[in-house]
Amino acid sequence: MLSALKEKKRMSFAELLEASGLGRDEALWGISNLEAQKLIETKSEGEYELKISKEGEDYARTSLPELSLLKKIKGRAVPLKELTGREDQIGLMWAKKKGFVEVSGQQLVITEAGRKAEKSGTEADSALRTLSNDKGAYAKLAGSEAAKELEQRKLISIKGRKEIREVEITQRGVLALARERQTEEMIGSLDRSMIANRSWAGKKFKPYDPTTPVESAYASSRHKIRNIINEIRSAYVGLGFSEISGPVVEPAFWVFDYLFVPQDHPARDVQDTFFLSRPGELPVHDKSLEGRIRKEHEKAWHGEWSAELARRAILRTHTTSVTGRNIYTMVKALAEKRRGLNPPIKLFTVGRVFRNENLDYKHLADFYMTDGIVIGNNLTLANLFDVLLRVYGSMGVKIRFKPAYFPFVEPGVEVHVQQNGEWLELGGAGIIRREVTGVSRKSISVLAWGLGVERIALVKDSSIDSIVSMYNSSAGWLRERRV
Amino acid sequence: MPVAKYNKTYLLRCLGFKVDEKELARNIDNMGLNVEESNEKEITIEFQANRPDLLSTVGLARAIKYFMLKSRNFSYEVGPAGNKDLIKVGKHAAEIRPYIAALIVSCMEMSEEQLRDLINFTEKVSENYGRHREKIAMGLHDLKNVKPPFFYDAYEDEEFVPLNRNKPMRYSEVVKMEEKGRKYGRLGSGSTRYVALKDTKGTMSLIPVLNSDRTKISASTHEMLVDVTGRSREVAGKIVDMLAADFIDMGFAVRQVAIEYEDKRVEAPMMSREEFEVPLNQFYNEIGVIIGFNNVITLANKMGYEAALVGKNVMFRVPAYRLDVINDQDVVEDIAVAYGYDYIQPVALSSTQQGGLEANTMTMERISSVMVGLGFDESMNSYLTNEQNNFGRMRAKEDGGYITIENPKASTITMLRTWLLPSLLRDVGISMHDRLPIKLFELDMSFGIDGNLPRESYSLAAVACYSQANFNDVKAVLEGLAQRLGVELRISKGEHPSFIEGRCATVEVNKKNIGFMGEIHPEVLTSFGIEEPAVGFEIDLTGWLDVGENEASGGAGD
Repeated sequence: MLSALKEKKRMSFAELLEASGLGRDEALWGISNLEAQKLIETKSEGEYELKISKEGEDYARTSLPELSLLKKIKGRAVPLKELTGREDQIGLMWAKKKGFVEVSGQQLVITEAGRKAEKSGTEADSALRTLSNDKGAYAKLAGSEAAKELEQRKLISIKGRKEIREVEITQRGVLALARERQTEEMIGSLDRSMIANRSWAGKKFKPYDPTTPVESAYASSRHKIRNIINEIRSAYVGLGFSEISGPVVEPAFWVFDYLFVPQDHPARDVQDTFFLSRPGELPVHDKSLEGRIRKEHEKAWHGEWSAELARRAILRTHTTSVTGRNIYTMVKALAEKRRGLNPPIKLFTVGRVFRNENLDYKHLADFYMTDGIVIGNNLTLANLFDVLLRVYGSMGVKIRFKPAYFPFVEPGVEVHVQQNGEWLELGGAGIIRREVTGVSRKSISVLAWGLGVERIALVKDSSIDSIVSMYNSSAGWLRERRV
Repeated sequence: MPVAKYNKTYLLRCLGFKVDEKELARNIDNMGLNVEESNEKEITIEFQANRPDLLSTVGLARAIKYFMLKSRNFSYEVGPAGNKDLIKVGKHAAEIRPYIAALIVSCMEMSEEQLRDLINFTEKVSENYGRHREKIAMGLHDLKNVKPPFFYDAYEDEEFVPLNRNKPMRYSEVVKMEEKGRKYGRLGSGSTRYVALKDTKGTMSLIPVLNSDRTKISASTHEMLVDVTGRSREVAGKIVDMLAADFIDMGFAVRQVAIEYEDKRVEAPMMSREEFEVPLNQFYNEIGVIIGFNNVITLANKMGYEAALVGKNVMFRVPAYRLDVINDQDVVEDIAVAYGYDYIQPVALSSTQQGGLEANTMTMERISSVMVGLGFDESMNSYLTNEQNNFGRMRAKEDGGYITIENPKASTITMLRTWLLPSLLRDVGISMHDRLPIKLFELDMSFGIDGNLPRESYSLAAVACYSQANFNDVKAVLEGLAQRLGVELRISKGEHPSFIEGRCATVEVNKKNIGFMGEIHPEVLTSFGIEEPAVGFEIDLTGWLDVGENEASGGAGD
């Protein structure tokens, strides 16, 4: 490109493309490279929008933090440990970078350059102030070191790129070109024919400046929640659990009645549960099961059990409905001594559950939950604790157990996790009541537990501040997540 | 879980022995209750919803005393009903609130503290355990100005002077105009009558709304009637037993009240204590730790049970104030709690089960990894939506074959989504300030109705938005995907209102229509705030690629 400029010294961008034989992107890259080395100068035009970040506005009102720091230390030697604030830290970083200060021992000492800067300020500082007063001033400042610094520091941002109108070789460029001539034809980009005929042999490759900024490439990826779900799945599979799934839309029977939740329980309130108007009802196919559940409810809860309420169609409020359905089929299969079943049988599920909520920054109406069960002979609370330690342990959290009440388990357990020195409730667990399984005292028992997927995420990843924020699916948010 | 506040000084007085703060908190914690907060004056405890007996300070103190082995008194005796201690139940009560139980407390000398705690307790039990007075309601009556016997029935509209009022009001007025009337008055609607408790002088209480001023209790009350009403005789009876235990612990005398129904006569409180025999080895079989006989007895006592050895079994007598002990499983849990969850050593299961993912999951993971490879970010959206988003903004017609929600709190939720593209376009719309191209996919559930049964199936949808996005781009993506999955797609001319006419195609696999693709209609783009062209597709995954539907609801076990 420099060679192309050698004759005419100054040409339009289009002329330069033609003369150099470069593609547009290549040429732009070269121009920015050459311009950075001050070998050429450009004149640009075009539209752009200048934005000053909040931080930038703050500094414009006072001064850049390195200058504030210089003012603060007033030429004294200051112990480093006195500089603890965020702004002090930023100031220190830049002051060091610009050679305004030196660290000697644990003391901060101002340099000659620092003294000068303290007295007459810096170009970047006055540029920021100018831009804050008049964004139009950018036209003059564009391309200057000061503007570049501000942009690099994210204090200002420019949207919409300028078009390069004219390119002119500088005196320095002419000299460089002369030097270049001496080193003879260095290779720019390597191409197919060079590789084939080995014409590169014996020549040098033109070195590139690795610090030239580029726009980073976006890596597309899975959703944050999906990654967590998959981590949970692999934790279960690693422990020998098989995955199951089940309906989202259920008759209340499988969500509540089968699980021994009384029909007047607050969880069944319209305040908490989504009832459906279409379909309004869903069948519960097993009449004898319905009969047994009616008996259990009426005996324990002393009220009439309504088959109609149990048939109301709802959106499941927990995935325990899925494990519940499997308790029902598995207990039946085990009682019939069906072949191929080797208890203990270990099952898990992950799926969406629903709560009738007012939506706001803290509340969602649907989110994820995971449930697990172990079905076997004479399983104990001590077995449950062991399973829970392994399951939660493989998800990477530390837990303890506390007594708790859920209608469908006895004994009931609350799982608490330690976070920032406090114990938080993370999930429930227990041994399924015989009223649910319908088995006699000495046979099959079922260990069960459930927990919110998002809660695990909150405990594991401190960069997530709320459940709602995890469900952001805007492109910007998705791209910024760490994998 | 419910939370209750207790006055610390009063709690310590009820305990009757000295205990330092930490020791107390540790014991409460071990009982399975969470101390939420503790300050100078109050202690806030999160307790289990099936233990209303712990809602009173007296009841909590009793449980702590047992747990710390400071009390071994398990006997709660009540005196017999006198001749006038009688409630006659009229025939209309059965239509609305059939059952009443009651007790009489005498020799009372209540402190202000005790009075406050008592009122607080009855309010809470009626509200929580009583399901806002629907299941259980309670009334407290000073017997000084009362002339028994008592009458309980549903009456026509009449007058009485309600609590803290100075002039008579009609039942109907109370229900309409008083705050509590509006809140609780509707209970038992369907009948024009009002449930009330009366004596020979008139109304003592409009149930479950408001008591009369005449029977208002105070710290100077010496004799008191407590009534408990509801829909279940058992539950009302147990609540009265629970209250009796509290009054006895406060040092008062409690005597029964006879209840005369049309067909039978019963007494309350019964202080009935159920008995359960549990084989000693059952504790090992269910908890997983070896607990000796002597130990079981002590642990039982810590939870308030009387226990004794009968052959190889342990016989437990459940305290009269416990409402939650349904059978021996509940007893076993109490023993485990008393033993201490922290002391139960985990025991590993032996199992040869291999474990694995569902076929559906694995297929969907496969598809998702190809989509990511094609440069698409995964998006996850709510299953809940409304007609405007699902149909209107998509220029699509409502077809009626979708699942609707009856009682949403949020006005933006009315139905389950029937497809994924609207969710994705919404995501693109809110991303307009981000760098283009924006490419998103979602692989998740959509819903419909087949006959009267819900249909739950998996779909894949993708949208790409950038300047000059065109039909061929999306076709290339779909074909790239199909090739990687090893399926053959047929893409042919199609029409769909969400796509530009003439730039839309149907997608077929094995001669079955599985979805649409094409350039999104500009009107749709505008409705989602999308300022650049976008292309997209949505295909139903059911029936090919090993993706099954969720089993139809109610089908388990067929």
